[in-house]
Amino acid sequence: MGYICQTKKSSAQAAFDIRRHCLRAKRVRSVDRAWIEKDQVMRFRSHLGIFLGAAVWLLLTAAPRYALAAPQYARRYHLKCYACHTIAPVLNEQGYMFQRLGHHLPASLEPNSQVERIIDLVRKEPEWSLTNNAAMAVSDFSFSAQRSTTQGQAPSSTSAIQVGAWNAYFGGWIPNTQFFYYSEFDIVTNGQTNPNMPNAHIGYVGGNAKSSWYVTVGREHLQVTEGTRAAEIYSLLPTAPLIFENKGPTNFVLDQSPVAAEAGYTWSSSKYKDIFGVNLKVTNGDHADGSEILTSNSTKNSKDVWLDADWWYAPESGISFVTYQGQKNQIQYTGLANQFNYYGRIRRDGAFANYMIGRNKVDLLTGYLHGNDDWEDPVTGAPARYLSNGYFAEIDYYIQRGFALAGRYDRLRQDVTSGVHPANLEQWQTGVEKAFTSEGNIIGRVGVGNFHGIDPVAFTATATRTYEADIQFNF
Amino acid sequence: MKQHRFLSSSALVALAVVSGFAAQAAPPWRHGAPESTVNVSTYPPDIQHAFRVFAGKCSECHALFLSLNVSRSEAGWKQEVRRMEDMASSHIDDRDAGTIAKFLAYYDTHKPGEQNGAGNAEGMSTGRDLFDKLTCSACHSIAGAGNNSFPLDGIGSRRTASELKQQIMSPVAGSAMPATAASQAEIDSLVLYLGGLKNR
Ligand code: HEC
Ligand code: HEC
Repeated sequence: MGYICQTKKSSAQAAFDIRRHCLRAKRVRSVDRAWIEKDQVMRFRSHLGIFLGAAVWLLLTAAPRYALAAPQYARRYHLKCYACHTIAPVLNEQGYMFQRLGHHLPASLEPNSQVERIIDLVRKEPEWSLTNNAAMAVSDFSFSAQRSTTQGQAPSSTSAIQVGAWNAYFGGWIPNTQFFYYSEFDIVTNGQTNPNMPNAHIGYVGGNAKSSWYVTVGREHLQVTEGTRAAEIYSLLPTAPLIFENKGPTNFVLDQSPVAAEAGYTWSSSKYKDIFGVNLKVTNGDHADGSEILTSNSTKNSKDVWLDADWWYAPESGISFVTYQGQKNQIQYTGLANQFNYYGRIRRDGAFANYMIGRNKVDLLTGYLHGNDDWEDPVTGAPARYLSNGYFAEIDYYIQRGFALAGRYDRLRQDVTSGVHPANLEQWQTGVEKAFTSEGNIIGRVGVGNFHGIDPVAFTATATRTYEADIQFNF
Repeated sequence: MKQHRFLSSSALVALAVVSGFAAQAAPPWRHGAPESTVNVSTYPPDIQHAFRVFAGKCSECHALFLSLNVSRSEAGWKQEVRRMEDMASSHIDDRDAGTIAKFLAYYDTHKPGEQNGAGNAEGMSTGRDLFDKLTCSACHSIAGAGNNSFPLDGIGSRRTASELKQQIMSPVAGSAMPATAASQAEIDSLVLYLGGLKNR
């Protein structure tokens, strides 16, 4: 009990992978490590082959005609990734608006001119085609080396090369209507072939470019790219801030993807000087993995509500407030003699802000998240609470278009009230990111990170130093 | 081991899919679209400077091509550049905007016929060239050039890209306009060009 769940691999699709890794695999680090060691040689060979194959293929096809590939939205309008991302997949303000307008490009909002309605934006769309509605992201041909020390165990080192994630995306609009759709099909996740569809939703967007609303229903995760920059789960660094990762024993980003309904409203002042957005999401997961609260062998139902309010108050600078409540009902040890029911509630409240200095030069980001969850002592069964306060501070320095340095410090203080005393986790990371095409769709990254801290339940100390390099291809 | 073989083969399938996409998806005018095919050496120094500002700022979100391929009046360029300046994530300020509009207006009246916009490695002609090459100009004019019976000035404000494509590929039956023998790529390029002909 009381696992510390940290991904061992970097990933450009960090959010999903981290969540899935934590929720599904939910391995204790040392187990993870043993698994790597055992499999390493085999994995190394098989992945090296793919890696070399892909490199050759890339040289033959992509390199000479450098501009051949860009994901569907870019393809649709002949745009580069930078139109909507600082460096993909980190969204900029335009990308945020694009998403909130149901995947239509924001129209210009000149002070005294007529505001275009959503249907006008739809009419301006180019002809629908498969290629401007589907894309492929192959991320994470990664190399990582790690050295870990866990209290009471001998230090260990590992390294691995692997293909982290092969994801296909299908997203766009239904011609001549205000409906849009988005889905993600994952073929390989964290280096393992494990086909699944974490996202598949359909939405409707109404209003006009200045004042719009949307609703969506379908399979959806909480908190994918919602919020202003600092609240976005994607970052320039290989791993998301600790507070988004599932460091705590109860996990913040609980995966109730089965069914979600969401509604949002967006208002922009002229020339997009200010943008306000709110959205509310409700999810119901019948088999959502809630086992992190107790142990496995349980039936679960998870109902969650997420409310998010955003304000972009200056070019590329914004503030977000987030509140989240989840009810995790479980029947534990189903069918066993010691079966019992547990209705745990979890709650998170946070504030996030970023400030961009200069015209996309230096981005300062910070976030705070408070957690207050029901907790039941796994041994004595005594009711208690899990309290946490986490924050991070990050600096992203954009040296030039598609080339950035980033550094972040993270701290998470966790307190299980039935425990002995609060425990801290700390992490720092630095990295360099560079796009290899003028479009910005092939991105390489090198990073160093250090994680150390104490598990709030078991009170064992862990320290890990990680070096990683990865490359991401988006088509 | 099975797992790994499955992984490799699924990876290969994915690669194939990706290559398919890539090959199909890339509009030919985009291949190797060079960021600076414009030969500005004969332009006055202030225009050369303005070109550099343009090349730096206007290549941020899309290839320069998109701007070089369309024609606007000076006022039209001012407005277009202001539109770009006002986009949510643009880094263009008023001073740059003035400089850029100056370059584009100059360039529009000094475009070498051959190299109108950016040609590319595969010798694809640009929209304006195609308009003549595919003899559209036998019935239509743009900015007074061609047959004035059916001017297409401002067509981009009246027709969407898909309407244009429809018109070019399969003109209304019984109309005087013949269906074209142009390739898909040429049509795309033509549509892009015509779509750029907005009302001033
Ligand atoms: C912040 C990103 C961004 C920057 C910087 C930018 N553009 Fe654009 N541009 C776009 C987008 C998005 C579109 C497509 C949607 C539209 O036309 O509204 C576009 C389209 C265009 C078009 C095609 C318009 C049409 O009618 O088909 C032209 C011409 C253009 N841009 C010129 C420029 C020029 C000139 C500059 C430099 C001053 C520039 N762009 C800088 C984002 C940008
Ligand atoms: C033989 C004469 C002729 C030729 C050649 C011709 N067109 Fe047309 N085109 C017409 C006529 C006539 C119309 C008016 C509408 C109709 O009758 O369908 C028209 C209409 C159009 C329209 C729609 C105008 C509007 O206001 O909606 C477009 C766009 C167009 N033509 C583009 C082209 C292009 C591009 C080419 C070259 C590939 C071309 N045309 C070649 C005769 C011609």
